[in-house]
Amino acid sequence: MTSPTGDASPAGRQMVLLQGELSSDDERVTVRSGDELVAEFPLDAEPYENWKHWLGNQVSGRRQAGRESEFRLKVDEITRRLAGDVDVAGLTRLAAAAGAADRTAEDTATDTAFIRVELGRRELDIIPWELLASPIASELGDRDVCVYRAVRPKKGRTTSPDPPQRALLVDTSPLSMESVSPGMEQDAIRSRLRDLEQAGLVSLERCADANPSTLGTALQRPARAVHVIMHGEDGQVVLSQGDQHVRIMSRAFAQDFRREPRPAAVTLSVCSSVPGTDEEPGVARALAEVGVRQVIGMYSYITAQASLAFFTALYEALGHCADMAGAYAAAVAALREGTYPNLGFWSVPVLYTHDNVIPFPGSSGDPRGAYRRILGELANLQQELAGLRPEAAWNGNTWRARTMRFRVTAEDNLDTMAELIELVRPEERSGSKWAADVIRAAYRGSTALSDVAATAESASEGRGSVQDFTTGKNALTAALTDLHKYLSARQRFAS
Amino acid sequence: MSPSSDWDPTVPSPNSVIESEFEDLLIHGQFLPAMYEKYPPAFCATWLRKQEEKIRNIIRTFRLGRDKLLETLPEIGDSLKAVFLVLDRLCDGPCSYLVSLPAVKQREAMAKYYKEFAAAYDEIWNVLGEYNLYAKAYEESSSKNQQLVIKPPNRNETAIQKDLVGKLEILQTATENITRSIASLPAPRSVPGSVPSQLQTG
Repeated sequence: MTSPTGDASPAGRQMVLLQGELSSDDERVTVRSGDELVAEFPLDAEPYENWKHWLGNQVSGRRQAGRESEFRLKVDEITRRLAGDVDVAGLTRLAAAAGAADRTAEDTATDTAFIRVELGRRELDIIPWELLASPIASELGDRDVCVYRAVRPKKGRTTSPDPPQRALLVDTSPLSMESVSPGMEQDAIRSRLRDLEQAGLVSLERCADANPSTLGTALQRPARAVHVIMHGEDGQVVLSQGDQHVRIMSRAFAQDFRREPRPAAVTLSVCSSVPGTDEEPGVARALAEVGVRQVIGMYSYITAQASLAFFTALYEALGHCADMAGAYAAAVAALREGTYPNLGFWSVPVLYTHDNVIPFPGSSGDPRGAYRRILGELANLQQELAGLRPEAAWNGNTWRARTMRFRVTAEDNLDTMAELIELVRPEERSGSKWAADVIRAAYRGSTALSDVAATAESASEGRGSVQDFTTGKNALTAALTDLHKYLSARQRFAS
Repeated sequence: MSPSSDWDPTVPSPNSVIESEFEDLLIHGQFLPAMYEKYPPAFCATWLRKQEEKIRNIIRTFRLGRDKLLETLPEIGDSLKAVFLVLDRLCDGPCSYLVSLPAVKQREAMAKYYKEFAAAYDEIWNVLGEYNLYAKAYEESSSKNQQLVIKPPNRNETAIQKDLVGKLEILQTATENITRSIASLPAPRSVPGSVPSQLQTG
């Protein structure tokens, strides 16, 4: 279901809500689903910390002989440990019950069960809750399971879903060429959002080689989604500054994203952007806490290849107007299928989302069906025009009979073009290239239509010029062809 | 397929009865907007297609009677007047069918097409007058055993006939466009006591 603002409500999604709490002495973790206790275990951070560093060794090349084959065991070990602490059978029962209760005819196409974990204290971020998906999926007969986290954000305005939505691609110069590949990743994202861009719904901008100042400037204008490619470590990111690289603490980094209206979504292609330190939250949580309603970060290190695979799948789904939780589920499934657990290429991508905001517009592409109606009216004009092929032998009567419909409807068609110009004007004022193109084509079309109609009127009175008519007709046909292209692109996103 | 045994060609079909009623209402200026539901757009479009056929018949009659055109012209004139009368009452005046139409856009389009129709109709009478003058001049010169000399702006027989056909075709096109405008209208939402569905199909 989509709200009038283009934001989705999670209603109807098969979802289990878990609430994780840390005891007052910071030693025991309890997880409840409603009144039901599904986990109670000591917070022993060491295994999770160690596992994260072990993964880091795998990708940073500091491997020890013979440990390559241990990778799967290691991943399975941490999953087993987590599953041992959590009542997987209980969660499976809850997920199955939620599915049975909420499933409607619409839902049967997507059979994913969503488990939403609300984490009151940031110390609980160290636990890779996402790894619960695998054992629960197995218990559910291999139905897809998606685990994501919820952090209650600060209240405040989020960038409106009205087109054109600005999507900002941020990157900073890499510390090493091997570990990040901003060009390929950004190209993949651009290509996944191309349909939205051609429909004038999304406007992509790049903030290349970002430093603290240029990033701040880029974020001064509202952006609906921001994709960040840079290096990171627990509780910090690394930005270039001149010839140097500077470390920015997560809270300081998040300040630029605090300005209202805030982005609906920030995706971090940034290693270790989930774990924090004793002093600083993880970068993803810091962004969620300042009010960005959807943040994706990485639990540990991630290679350029895994990052490319994950974000390509994520933006493929977002480009088809999936909501973030659905897109995240699809991207994790793609990553698991393609690269996990081979060669330690992947970290655990983590989604923090308080609600299911759709970063890019779904049915808001044509809310009142006006573009669809205008497209139909202009298509009729184009068809009528194509049938008009005057010959030198035509006399006044022939012109009158053959061009009657065209002449009689010319005024209505001029009104249609004027209506279209008014309709896209607000989008043009918001900087939409699509809207600017539509307006230019509509003006060209109006001028040509007036000329052709006047020529047809003169010809009907016996002062015909086949050449004048044909010249005007060609100009009008070209304008109508362009308008058809622009409006058809928009129609792909109309409900 | 042969007609069924109880079919009597002398008994008017329900279609023709209701069409006659409709035409009477138009001709006598008694059509009211409240009657729109009884004579919905689909019915009117079917009826209009018959008027189109009448115009095609006029063109056919003209072409077939070219060799004795002067004798054919009165018949053509009468047929034209009959078609004009119903089209005029359909599209023009306070008791016209057009006034009852709920869709402004189609109403305006129909009015414009009717304007084209009426202009061509008026011009046809001018052309017919021109042809009569030509015929008289021709007869006069023939009786004197002289060759008819035509001086511009007067036109010869071929040019006049070509113009006449051209204007008749304008009538036909205008009527087709009026039909198309009416056919594009949706059916009235409630049609109590409306025309049976078999009458509404073309």
